[in-house]
Amino acid sequence: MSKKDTNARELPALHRKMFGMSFYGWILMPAVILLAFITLYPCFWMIVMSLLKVSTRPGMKNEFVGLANYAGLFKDSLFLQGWVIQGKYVGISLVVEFILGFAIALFLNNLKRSANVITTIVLVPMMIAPVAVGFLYLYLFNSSFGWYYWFLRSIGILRQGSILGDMNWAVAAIIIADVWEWTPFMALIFLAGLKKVPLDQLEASKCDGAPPIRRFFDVVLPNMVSVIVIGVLIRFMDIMRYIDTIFVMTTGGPAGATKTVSYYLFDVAFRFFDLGRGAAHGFVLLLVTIIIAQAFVNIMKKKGVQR
Amino acid sequence: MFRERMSRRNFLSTAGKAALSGGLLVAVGGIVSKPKVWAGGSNEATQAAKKAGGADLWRQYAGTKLIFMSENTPPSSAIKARAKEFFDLTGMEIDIRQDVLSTVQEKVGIDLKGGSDAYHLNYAQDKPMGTLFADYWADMSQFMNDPTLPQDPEGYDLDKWGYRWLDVCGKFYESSKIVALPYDNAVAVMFYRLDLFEKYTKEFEKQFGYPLVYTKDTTWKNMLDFMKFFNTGKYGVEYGYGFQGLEGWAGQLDFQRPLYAHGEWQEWDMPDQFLGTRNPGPSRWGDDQSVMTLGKMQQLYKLAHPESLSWDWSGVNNAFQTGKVAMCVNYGEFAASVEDPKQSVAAGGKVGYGMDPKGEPSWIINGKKAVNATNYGIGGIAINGNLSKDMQRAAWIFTVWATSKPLQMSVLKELGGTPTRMSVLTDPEVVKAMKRPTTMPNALTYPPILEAVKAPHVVPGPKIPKWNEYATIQCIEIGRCMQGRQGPEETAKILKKKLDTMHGV
Repeated sequence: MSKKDTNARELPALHRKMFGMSFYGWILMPAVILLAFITLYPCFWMIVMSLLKVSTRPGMKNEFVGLANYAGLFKDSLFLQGWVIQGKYVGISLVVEFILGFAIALFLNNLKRSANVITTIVLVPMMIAPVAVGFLYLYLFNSSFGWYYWFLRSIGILRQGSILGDMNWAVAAIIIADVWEWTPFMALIFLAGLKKVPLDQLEASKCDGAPPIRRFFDVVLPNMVSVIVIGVLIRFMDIMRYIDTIFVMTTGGPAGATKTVSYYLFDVAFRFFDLGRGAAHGFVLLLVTIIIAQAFVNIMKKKGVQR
Repeated sequence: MFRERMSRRNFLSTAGKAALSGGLLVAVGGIVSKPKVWAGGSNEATQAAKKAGGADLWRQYAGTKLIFMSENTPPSSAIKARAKEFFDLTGMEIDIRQDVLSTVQEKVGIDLKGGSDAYHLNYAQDKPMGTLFADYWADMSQFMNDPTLPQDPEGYDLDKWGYRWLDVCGKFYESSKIVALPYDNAVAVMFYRLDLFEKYTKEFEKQFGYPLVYTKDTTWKNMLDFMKFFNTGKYGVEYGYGFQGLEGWAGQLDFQRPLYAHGEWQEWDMPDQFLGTRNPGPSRWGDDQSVMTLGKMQQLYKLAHPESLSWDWSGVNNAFQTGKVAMCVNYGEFAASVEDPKQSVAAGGKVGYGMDPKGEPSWIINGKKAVNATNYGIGGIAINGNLSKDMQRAAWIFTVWATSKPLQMSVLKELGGTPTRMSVLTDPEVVKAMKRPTTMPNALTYPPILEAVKAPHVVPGPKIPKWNEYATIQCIEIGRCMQGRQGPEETAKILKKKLDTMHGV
């Protein structure tokens, strides 16, 4: 009996349902239970904790306060300002990373020689630990010896004597660090998408006399939409919780200018140790991230992205 | 290939047995690896445990391994380098883990509040750590007179340490419980370029009508003149002065100095600022003195190095060492690097050390005194209260050793430590080292430190349970004021409202 015949006989058996689940389902079950435990259990506790005033002294009991922690968030000016700062940080970073990432991906896709070497070099920033990137930019923006500081002053863009000590420039600084580190990630995903664009469609449009820009918008882009959705979605969810470089570069300052809502969550939970308030804060952040991500997916679905 | 060797039933049966065995192994391993006093990892520690005699108080817990979570401060590094000495004396291993203060705070906080004992000993920095975690630390007074434990021959009374340092880092909100022994000090003093002051005094006098000298009577108003003079860039540096207003503890301390210097102003009334209080009541923000001083601070920040709001002690030290600023208030421990010619352009006798600037009498409207406001961080060693009694006793042995005079003395001599015992600070050898030439550069800062850490100049608090939140709010609002985003009066009103809301007033 050939190997092909054996597979043909055994595969239906493997798919046969036992208590409503296939063999594959059963062998995956322990992993699913474990995963559910390590994700759902903390999530459940976060929700429970968000309804408590967690004791600040040993021997004292936690007090049930209902939705008071949530109500408190909307009276907290740092929480509300944090959303504005987060909006700027996430929005500008994503747009710039998207544009630059696409441009780099197109460049890499059209390389005839040394494509692998150049791609590897381009990807280096995203392989560096975010804390190390924070320190790198802390030094680059330093007014005593920072190269970026010197460069920006030399070309007349920077009039202030400081980057990280100025409220506007500090926001720009954390965005620049994020863009530098994560644009390669977008480029990598878009490059994978570009490799999947059907050559026959491209050649057909070329034969029809379509100029490069038309080919990009009519052939490349429609074939890339699902990849773009995935890239932007992953990056969006990542940047929403990202505090590493901010922690190193500015600690949320100066004067709270870079205190994003996720950085403020770290403050509330692990510096103030107000765990009930921190849990409510974290849950709201999680909900907002899920809602925005879902809305984004829905919009894309409506526009016919099914691939 | 897999399917040919093993049936589905066999696979599930084998996997089940493997999982069960694994679970049992983990459970048994957990029980075995959690004795009351657990043995150190190395063979040497085990051998030392075997040799330990019952009569040797120091060695009664030989074989134990202690973990000390500390900030990456010079004394912690120095003691880490001497871990072998501790092992030889006690047969115990000490594992010192160091990190930045915010990470220490996070790790220790989770450990303590989670009822866990991953870290047996904690770095008890007075305000950012102690105000939050003091209730979770063991009361050391129970060990202090215990004849079955080693004791320091000098004892632990208040006068054995710097001025009320035991109260500052060891007692929180009540005087009956001692939760930490002072282990390192970081007192703020003025670092200034003595060489430039001497060189340009005539030019300065021509412009401002008095000589360019720094004394304990130099006021914050004089600082404005110094900044105007040096900011011209003609006198060897780019700026006159650098603050350290980075959000967090650095900023809180930095803003506190001019605030307290003018009329001994503090945010809250407390029966004893050195002990603090759990319920401080309404804040003083918004009174005339607070608005006045904030206005003057705006002027000072306007002339200071533009990076001032992004610097902490390391940032401003870097600027001072590289000749960017002529003056900065910084902590005594930085003298070692400032005096090191490999790291600093200011090395070689070019730096003078003095008390922090005094309040300007004409800027005081609350009828109180002008003082040389001096604040600090007094770091202690605390014992995790979640530990078993035996482990707490073992941890006490390390605490006694790490805060003893001989160790502080040798660390100071060899590695630039920051002693807390008065017997070290007044030791003839150390007193001699307070003048140049010296082999202990940190000692150059001790004369102003010893004069400034007493009343009325010293400002220890505010020691309140919500210290971290207070520091964040204060740094943000004062930072905005210093950047000109809001006026002094508006800032004081916002601070009053926010801090009172924080305390439910």
